[in-house]
Amino acid sequence: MSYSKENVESIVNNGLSRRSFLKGLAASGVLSSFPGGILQANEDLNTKIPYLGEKSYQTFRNACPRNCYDTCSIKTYVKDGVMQFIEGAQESTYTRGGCCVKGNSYVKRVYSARRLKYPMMQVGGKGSGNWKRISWDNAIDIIAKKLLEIKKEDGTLLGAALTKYSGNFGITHYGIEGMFNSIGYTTRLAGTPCWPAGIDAQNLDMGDMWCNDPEEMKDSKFIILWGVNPAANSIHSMKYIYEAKKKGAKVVVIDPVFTEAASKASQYIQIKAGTDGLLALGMAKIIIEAGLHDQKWLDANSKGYKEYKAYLDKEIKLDNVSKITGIPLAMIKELALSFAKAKPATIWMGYGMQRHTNGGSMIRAIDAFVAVSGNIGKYAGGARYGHLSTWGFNYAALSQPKPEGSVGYSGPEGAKGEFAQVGGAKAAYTDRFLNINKTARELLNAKEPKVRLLWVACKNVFAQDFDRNQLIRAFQQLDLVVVADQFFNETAKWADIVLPVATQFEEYDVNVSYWHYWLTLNEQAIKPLFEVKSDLEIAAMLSKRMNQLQAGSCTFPQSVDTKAMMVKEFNPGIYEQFGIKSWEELKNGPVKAKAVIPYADGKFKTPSGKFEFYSDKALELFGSALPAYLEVRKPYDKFRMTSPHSRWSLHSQFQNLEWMEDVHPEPYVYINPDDAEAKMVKEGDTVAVFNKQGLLRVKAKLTDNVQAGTLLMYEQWYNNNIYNVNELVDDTSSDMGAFKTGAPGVALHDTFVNFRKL
Amino acid sequence: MQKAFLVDGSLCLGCNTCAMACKNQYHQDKGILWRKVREIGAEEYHHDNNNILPALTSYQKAPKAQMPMERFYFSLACNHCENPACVAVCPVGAHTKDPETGICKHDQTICIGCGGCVKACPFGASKFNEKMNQAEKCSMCWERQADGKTTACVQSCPVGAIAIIDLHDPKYKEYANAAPIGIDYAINAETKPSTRFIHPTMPKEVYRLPKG
Amino acid sequence: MQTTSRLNDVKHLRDIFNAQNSKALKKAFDALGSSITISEEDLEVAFNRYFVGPMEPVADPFASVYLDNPDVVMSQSTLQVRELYETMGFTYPLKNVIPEDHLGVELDAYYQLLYLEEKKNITYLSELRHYFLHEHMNLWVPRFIERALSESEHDSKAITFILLQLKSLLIRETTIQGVTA
Repeated sequence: MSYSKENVESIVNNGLSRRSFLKGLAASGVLSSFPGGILQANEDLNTKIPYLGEKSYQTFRNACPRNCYDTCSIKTYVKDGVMQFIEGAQESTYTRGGCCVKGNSYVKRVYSARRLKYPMMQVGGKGSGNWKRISWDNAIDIIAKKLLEIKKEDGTLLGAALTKYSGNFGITHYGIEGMFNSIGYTTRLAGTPCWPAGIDAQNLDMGDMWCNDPEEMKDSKFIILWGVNPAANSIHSMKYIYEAKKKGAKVVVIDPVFTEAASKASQYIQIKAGTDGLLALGMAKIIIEAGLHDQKWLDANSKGYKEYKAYLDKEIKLDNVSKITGIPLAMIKELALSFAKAKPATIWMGYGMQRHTNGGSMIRAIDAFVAVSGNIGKYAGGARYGHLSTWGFNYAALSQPKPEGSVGYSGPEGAKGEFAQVGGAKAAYTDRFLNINKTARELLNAKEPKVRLLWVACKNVFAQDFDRNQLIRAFQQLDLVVVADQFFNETAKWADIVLPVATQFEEYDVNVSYWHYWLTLNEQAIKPLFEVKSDLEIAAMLSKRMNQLQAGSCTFPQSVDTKAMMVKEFNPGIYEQFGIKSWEELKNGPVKAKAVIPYADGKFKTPSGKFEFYSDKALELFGSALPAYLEVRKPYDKFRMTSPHSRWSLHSQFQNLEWMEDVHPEPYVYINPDDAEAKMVKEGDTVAVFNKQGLLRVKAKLTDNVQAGTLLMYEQWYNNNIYNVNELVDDTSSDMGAFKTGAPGVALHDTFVNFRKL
Repeated sequence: MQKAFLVDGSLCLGCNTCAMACKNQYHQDKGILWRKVREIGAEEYHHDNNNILPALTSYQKAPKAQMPMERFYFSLACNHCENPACVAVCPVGAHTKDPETGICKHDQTICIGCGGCVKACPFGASKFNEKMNQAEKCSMCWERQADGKTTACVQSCPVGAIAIIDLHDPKYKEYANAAPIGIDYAINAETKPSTRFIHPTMPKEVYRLPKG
Repeated sequence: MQTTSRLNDVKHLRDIFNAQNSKALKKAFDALGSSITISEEDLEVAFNRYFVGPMEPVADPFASVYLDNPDVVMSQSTLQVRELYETMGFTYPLKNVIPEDHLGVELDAYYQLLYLEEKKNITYLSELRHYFLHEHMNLWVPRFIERALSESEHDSKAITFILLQLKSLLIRETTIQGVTA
């Protein structure tokens, strides 16, 4: 029997003629579904919707919930239930219509063939590679029974641990912590590898971490980008820096690496890594000696200036500052004095800058310098690091009560994560907190009780935590490892159960940023693909099953609607701050918080109520009341390895996508030409980079962007490539972090290596 | 009117948002990018014409430039030439130049995949798609522009390093260079590319730690 | 060829690729009548490794992966198949949840069209069936089979059997009917 391709194609393309095919079907009454089949015969024919430009798409509001300064507001274009393309929201002056190279790959992330599709269980042991499908009910049942078994045997749920971090910063995603709250007192991997030292430092100095609106930078007269590279990692901030520069402001980049940002600055100053605190102390001394400090402000708003000045007089010698930092004294003087004379002037301190063993002390020193110059509390001024002032939601998803009669950890008062809200009376029990930056060690050593179940969400442990071999051992000795994720990764490889989760386009949420001041609604744009579920729905299913097995064992709602969960997060405070009456207004686009200049009123949430040069808390916790110079970790190998964040990925996200491989296929190690020559390494050679922790094989690129004695490798995770810089990092802590985030940070940039040609 | 891309290397971060915005809009096949962010000063750069290199020897090449690795860029797609080779060469009229806007459009429904434009374009703007057996290239998002929007790349750029200008506007006569520096590009090409460039410069003061 | 066995061949292969659990998978596999003995669990583990995940499968069972971009689902080809199903007159209850160009769904469409032709003597849809077979399925399924068969590291006899059955089915369907395009 023949067929005519042209005939069929014209029928397919011309919806109206379709009906002629089915006339016969209707007449003979065969319109019923067939046993075992999926497709059902349909009487109701759809006609094709012609393309009409903007109007032919359904649009939705979404947010990029990744761990990123820019937290873009997105407008999503959908046709017939399929995402077609996205744009940045035009309503946000910050996002200004465009995302970034990663955000623009979202359509292909959502529809990646590599997404986890079904709940599955690894049979034959972790790492065996043998996977069975299980139904959601079955998966949840296994987990629920395990949790109840732990509770029965230990009397607590401290044997159940959660490691969740920054894979999704949407507010309702704190429902994952909420899920664990709702079953009892549990073990939490707390702390953050990211920014804790600086958070502590800012809290010690000013009682909060509260940066000025970045959009103000366009009016700054002097900007120092200190150990931060917004040209790669906060591209939406660059337009404000450019505008300032165009209007005559001086933009100075201080960084051990000649970064992308450095290439766009007015001045680049290379510095010896880990000496930034000393530079800031020297600069403060210089402006005080020149009488350019804001004595009036200091008298009215600070505590301990006298002690601080005495310290500078006695202990800080400018020749020594120049020697240790490597920067000529004349240049330091010029920098300090021009900063002091420009009003307003601002410093943006990067997270990279504080990933040293002395990171917290360096932020304190720079905070102090900005204070001395009189730029705290000023429009377009400030010591910028981050803020959480727009994060005042209800955290309804997070706040689930413990079941009655829950027994927990009764050690010293548990620490708080940097996003946690403190509320209610002090409990007799707390959760047990383990240091996320020492995950392997902590999981292995936890006793009374042992950790038996680990839930991983919004995190890729094997990419982002340290000591891979120990991690494998730690995972293998756990009874049950559950990994909830969008893609299969190495962490999933060592799991017992993987649960496929929704992307932000398949669920509702609400998002804010820790840098800019915009509020973005995240609507559900498409149906969840395959069998993926929102993390919240997973929690509800768990609650339902647990309560079936043991009434009252879980307080999390037993059914959820992500939209309703999102609505519950709003409160009068948020509405007031953003000048809206209802969350529904966000359907028209993101909105910005009412302008507030941090500390303009001179009020600080420190014990003294003032900016503290001298902090009793700092003395108690970290051994130094003043922002004194603390030497950085001494090298334990030949070269410093610095591992900044790449523009192509957000930790282990995005680089695995095919579209990203088109623009950026492979990793490199960047080596100073002098160092390369000494080891006879040429451009493009494959080298081994190694230390006591591990070894990586990677291609070399030679550039004087990096100083001699330093190697640079971007922190990324590739598909089909075992490259992972964290394999070379030991888990040495930064000085601060335990005060406000539960654990010290990691001194990532104090990693030392050697290399050789292969 | 001659719509043209104004490419500002002094602003360009090399972030590749533009290249991905184009992919996000059109979902080109694997390995095909209509817009590429090209590194200034990178040596041995070749057009990605699927091994069909244009006869570059008959054109002058852009002057070399010594720039730090991976720091300075020009973003390039189609140059929407005033005298386009693709239009001249196309046997079926799949390439047309819009008389009003000057945009060089490619219509894939007409394209027969002869590869003539791929060979003729001095800039490698026309890409050959092996799977579809057709050429394809940037058409300056003319449908978006007709709908009152700007091109996907221009809208997405976080710093305005790409803009659309009217080359016939007198203010652009002396404004920017027709010839970029440091990338593999045929300058003074007979096709008269409309793209204009603003050159980047290093920061005025650069201090690097002394050796040893 | 007996119509019953031809329809059943399509049906069993359809049921294999649409199986949602190991029991259904084993039942459909057994119906193919191979002499291979394999446990339910081993069969499912192998099936998942080849076609499902969670790790990267040997061969994704979606047309878009072979016809459009290697890494994506729900792209141009999927939407063309969607239109085709609508033309055929089907409603797809898993629209925007499971891509229409999943092999199991396509085998189902093919089965239903063939059923209407053979059992109900409805010939109206035969042009569509042939079009679907020659202008769509035959463009990608052979490549899918080839990719799956190229797996040598942990090859599975059972899966190889399934693939060869699918291969023969396709060859029979595309040649025996004496088609002119």
